[in-house]
Amino acid sequence: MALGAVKKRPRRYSSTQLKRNLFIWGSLTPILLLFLIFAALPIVASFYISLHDWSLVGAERPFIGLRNYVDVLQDDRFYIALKNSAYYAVAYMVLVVALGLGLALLLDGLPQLPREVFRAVYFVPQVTSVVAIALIFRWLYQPQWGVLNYLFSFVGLGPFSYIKSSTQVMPSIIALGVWRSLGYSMVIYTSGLVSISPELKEAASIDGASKWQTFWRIIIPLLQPTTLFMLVTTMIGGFQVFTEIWLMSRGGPGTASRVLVLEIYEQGFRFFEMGYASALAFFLFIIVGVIVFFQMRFTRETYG
Amino acid sequence: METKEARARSRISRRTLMKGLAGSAAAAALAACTPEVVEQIVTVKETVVVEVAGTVEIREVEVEKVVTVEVPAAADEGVEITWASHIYEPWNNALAAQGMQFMAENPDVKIIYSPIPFAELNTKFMTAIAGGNPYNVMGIYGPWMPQFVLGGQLDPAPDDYVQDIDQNFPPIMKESATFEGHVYGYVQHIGIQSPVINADLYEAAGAQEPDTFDELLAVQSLLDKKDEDGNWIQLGSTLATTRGVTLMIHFGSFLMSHGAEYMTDDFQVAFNTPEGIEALDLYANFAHPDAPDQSFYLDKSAMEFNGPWAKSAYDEQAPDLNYKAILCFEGPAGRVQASYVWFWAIPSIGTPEQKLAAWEFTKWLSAPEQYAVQYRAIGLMPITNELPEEYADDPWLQVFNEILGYARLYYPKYEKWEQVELLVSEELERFVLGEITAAEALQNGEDKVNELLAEG
Repeated sequence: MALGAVKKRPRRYSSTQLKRNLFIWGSLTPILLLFLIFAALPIVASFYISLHDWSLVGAERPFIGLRNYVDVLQDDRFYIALKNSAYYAVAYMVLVVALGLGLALLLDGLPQLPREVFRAVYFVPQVTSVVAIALIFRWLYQPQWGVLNYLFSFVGLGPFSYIKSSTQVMPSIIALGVWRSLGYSMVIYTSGLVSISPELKEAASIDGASKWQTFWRIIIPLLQPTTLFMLVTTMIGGFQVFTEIWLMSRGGPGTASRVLVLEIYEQGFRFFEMGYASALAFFLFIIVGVIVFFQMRFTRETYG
Repeated sequence: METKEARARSRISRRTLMKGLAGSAAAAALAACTPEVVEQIVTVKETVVVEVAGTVEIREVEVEKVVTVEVPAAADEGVEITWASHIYEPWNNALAAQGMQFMAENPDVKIIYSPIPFAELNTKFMTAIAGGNPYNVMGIYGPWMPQFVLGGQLDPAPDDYVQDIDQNFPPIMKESATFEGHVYGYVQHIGIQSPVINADLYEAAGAQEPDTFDELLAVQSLLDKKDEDGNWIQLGSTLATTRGVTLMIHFGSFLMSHGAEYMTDDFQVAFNTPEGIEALDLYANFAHPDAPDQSFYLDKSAMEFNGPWAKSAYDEQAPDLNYKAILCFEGPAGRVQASYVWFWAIPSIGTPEQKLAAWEFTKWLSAPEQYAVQYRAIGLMPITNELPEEYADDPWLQVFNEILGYARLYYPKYEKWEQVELLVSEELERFVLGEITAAEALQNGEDKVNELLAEG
């Protein structure tokens, strides 16, 4: 052995370290297995299917490479669905985040008892069956005999057609989605507000900052992690909207509320074109992934 | 250290455990051999003595009674078949009872019945077939037949069953279940959605029952009522307004009565014609998208299109509703009733014993007395050359039986019909909502369908 050379000693784990590692891996293994079986493998299988002319009708499923992806890009209905999905996602994200924050700020100023009561009340839609909500909203949106048009008539508005109009259907369904998710957004922002030290607000007040300045320069930046979380999750949720669309309009009138997940569902489970549906699903995955990437980057750059 | 006594106690308890297990196994075996007892509603004739105007008479009357039926446990060499249909209570209850009765008459056959929501039905059948474990008897919607047949997933009927269908049923039964020269099953029921009126509203308005589309249009002015704000108080009719199969069926009768059709038998678009435009413009008078879906049940609409199966729904949900079926309307090209079928199909996967049992079961299920059971349950029309004698005077069935003579399938046997239906009904819906004209709707529909046809 040359002078100065250091002999590398084999790494040895103490029995405590070994036991600790075994415990960690033993605890993680079940959840990793579940993830592998119910998430990772289906994603890989879906990609495999998307490379084939895979129909449930018939036994032949030839390999066609990226043909399904090319077909998606050449399909006008894909772009219509993409446009509607983006419309829903952006509106849903902005409204849920803004209104949720507003609601949390309003509740923040209340005494504890009314704050807890209102928090519970606003959270109820989140835990209510979306089917039940949709059925009620269909009656609320009834153009002739619905309660909403009746109430609007007292202030000289309407009558509106809601889901019976190509221009009003998306705002109507967005309103349902936002109403349902508002409580969740409020709860998340409430926990974010609680984590902000009151001393910071007091210090700002002493230094002469107005309420708006305190809100914009202190509270908003400190809520950056919460806001980032809400922006990302609402954007993903918005692009994945299906249940509300299915229950309220089935993508109509015409294609006015046709969204990507509905397109995937109908291609896969109504027309049985599994290969094409899988390609559509991967497009959705890529689109959402890119948007979320830029969202996170923008938020971090803006707020540090 | 365990004492001798403790060891003895544990040995005794293990012995007791083994005895218990053996006893349980014996009980289970006994239970498997014990016949299952179920209740069934059957019609029996009874002799009763009645006094009429001082005279004693002996009469034979029919009464319905609940009886218990023993369904013997299937013998080891018996066959088990699975059977599925869409959900429509109480039809499912009637079907389940019929399954039990068949098992009572055929002890070597065990039937497992599964009602499935309509929205999941086709998917359920497809995935079960793809998984190699299909239902042995499937209640299939007619337009789905081509995709199943072209996928090699259905068994054509053996010759003796084809002969039975030829001899004992109307031609539409065989025609609707035939594809590329082969018959694929017995028809479960024929979907005829024809006019059903609210007789009370017609009488109150002094309106005559219309026979033609022109007369129907004239009657609307007597029945349509709005308040001073323009809101509906009463509607003359409420036909389908939202995309999907119901809109296609309702408009289909208009279309074909005006001499047009959705597609020709060689799959060419045939609805974008002057006759089609005229039919669609006429349809708009009877379809009101701003009316609630349940207007007819709520006594707010004087007419809707529905089928013979709606009888049970009317009786249950609107018992005071004075409903009455009338003949389908005559148009410029005659009287045509857009129709569809549901039929019992046997998949190509299965043992010969299962397939034989399945064919025998569907043949049995299509006997006049079994159709009569389904009529009693929900009003499904018996599809036989002649109505069973007991229902010959039934006014509800009489009308639909007459309409059967004008029934025509509204769809071609095209494997992508589901996609055609979606594309066309999207445009029909936009027209009904007043967003586009009839000409634009049919042109858009034609363009979309031609694009689909070009894909092959």
